[in-house]
Amino acid sequence: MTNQALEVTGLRKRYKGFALKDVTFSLPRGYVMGLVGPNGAGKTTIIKLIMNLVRREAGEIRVFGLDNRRDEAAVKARIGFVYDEPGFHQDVTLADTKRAIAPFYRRWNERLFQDLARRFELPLRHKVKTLSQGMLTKFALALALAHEADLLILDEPTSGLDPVFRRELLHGLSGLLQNEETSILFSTHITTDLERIADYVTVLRDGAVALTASRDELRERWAIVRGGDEALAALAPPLWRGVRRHAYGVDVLTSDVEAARRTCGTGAVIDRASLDDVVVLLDREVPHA
Amino acid sequence: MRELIWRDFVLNRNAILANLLVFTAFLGYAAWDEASPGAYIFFAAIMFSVVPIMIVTREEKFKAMRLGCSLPVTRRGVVRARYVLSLGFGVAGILLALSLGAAISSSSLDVSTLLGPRELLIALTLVTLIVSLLLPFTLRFGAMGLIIMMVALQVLGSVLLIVAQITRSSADKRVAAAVAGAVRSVAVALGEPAFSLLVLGGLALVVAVSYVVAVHVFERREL
Repeated sequence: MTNQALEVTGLRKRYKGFALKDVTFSLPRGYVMGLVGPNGAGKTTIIKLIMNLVRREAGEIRVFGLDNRRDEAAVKARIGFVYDEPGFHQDVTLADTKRAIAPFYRRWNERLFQDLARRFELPLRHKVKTLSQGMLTKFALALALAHEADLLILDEPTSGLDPVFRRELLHGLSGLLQNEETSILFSTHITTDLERIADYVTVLRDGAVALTASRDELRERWAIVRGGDEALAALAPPLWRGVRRHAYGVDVLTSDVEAARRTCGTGAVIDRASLDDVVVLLDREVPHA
Repeated sequence: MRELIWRDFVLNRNAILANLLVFTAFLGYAAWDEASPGAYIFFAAIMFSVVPIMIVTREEKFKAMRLGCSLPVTRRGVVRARYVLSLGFGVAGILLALSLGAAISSSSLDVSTLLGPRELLIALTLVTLIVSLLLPFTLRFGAMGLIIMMVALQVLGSVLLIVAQITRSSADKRVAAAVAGAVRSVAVALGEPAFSLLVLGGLALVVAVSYVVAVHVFERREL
């Protein structure tokens, strides 16, 4: 039995004006991975490729060791999904939508669904078109969780939600994942969401993986060095991984905080890098906003 | 496949019921109004065969195809279910039309005529051709593609008609007469049972080819 929930290797896909370039990452069983990057970085394309909604040009995708195309139905039976656009029939009630979807899953747990519906305060007798985006996301999440999926794929589930609702959803999500069997791939461009729940982070930029690392590694090794131009001069590559210039000096992103401390001494201020810093600065030279 | 058909029924229940109601009323009126058996069966076959097309276009309208294809099914399975549903609706429509024709006392439609092998064969041919032509197209290009195809066919028909009028050519009539003549000759030469079997075999082949094409194009459709 493989220890990986998801293995993506050398994935390629081309569209007019955009290409995924040899995307490779893996998600161990029982962990949460954040797929993060600006709009148009390729997050949704990767998810569509995993779900076999678009055809890959090269590469391999394995879900619990199974090829996502050759063993399509078996793979999808183990995946729960929440998309940014849910795609429910608008003139059908939530109860009927559930009745249409539940028979596809052998492990459908009706009691769990009803419990989630109560917890999320889902009005099951209402038609889809009467509900807000937030309620529909909760409904999609309830459907995804009720068949006891081993891998949850969440594509921008928090986009379009207000901050209160977003926090509530994330809280609910982490609460529901107390068992250590379920793995989650969570795509978002809101990095603060990932700070709360991700164990691993994969940063995408222009269709390529710019970084894939554990959150602990990011927390312990990555930092922002703030100082004058001498800080930038001292931290030559590979120590500096990105730069932001502003009127009073520079902020340098480094992936080796210890080396940065040794090199800069007391000549610079060193802060922990937030995920947002990493996403914005990685491999770039950014003027201050 | 059972799950896919069930899903289509649950998610489109009201639309299906509304269609059935309108079609049944139309057929009831046609039976009462002494329609010709051929026209009666013709309309029944057409109306009911397009119900599953409506299901696909509704899925398109609600952008629900991505969700449908994310469920634990293969694209081939989705196509297979749509063919079974379409042909099933077509046959059910014919059966309903026959029952209505027999049930309406003022109807001039003689049940023995409606149940004649010729009428049934024509109805089955119509159902098969409609499903085989429209379904791959709708699955690949969606509702808009279907509309474009219908409009293109109408434009083509109009252009041919205009050309025939201008050139005073009767080529279209000659072609139609030649095809009908050829079919009649084959029917006479083979005898009715063998001819019916031949037609059924031909229809099965048409459905098979259409299904293979539909699977091919739908598997390549990016959602």
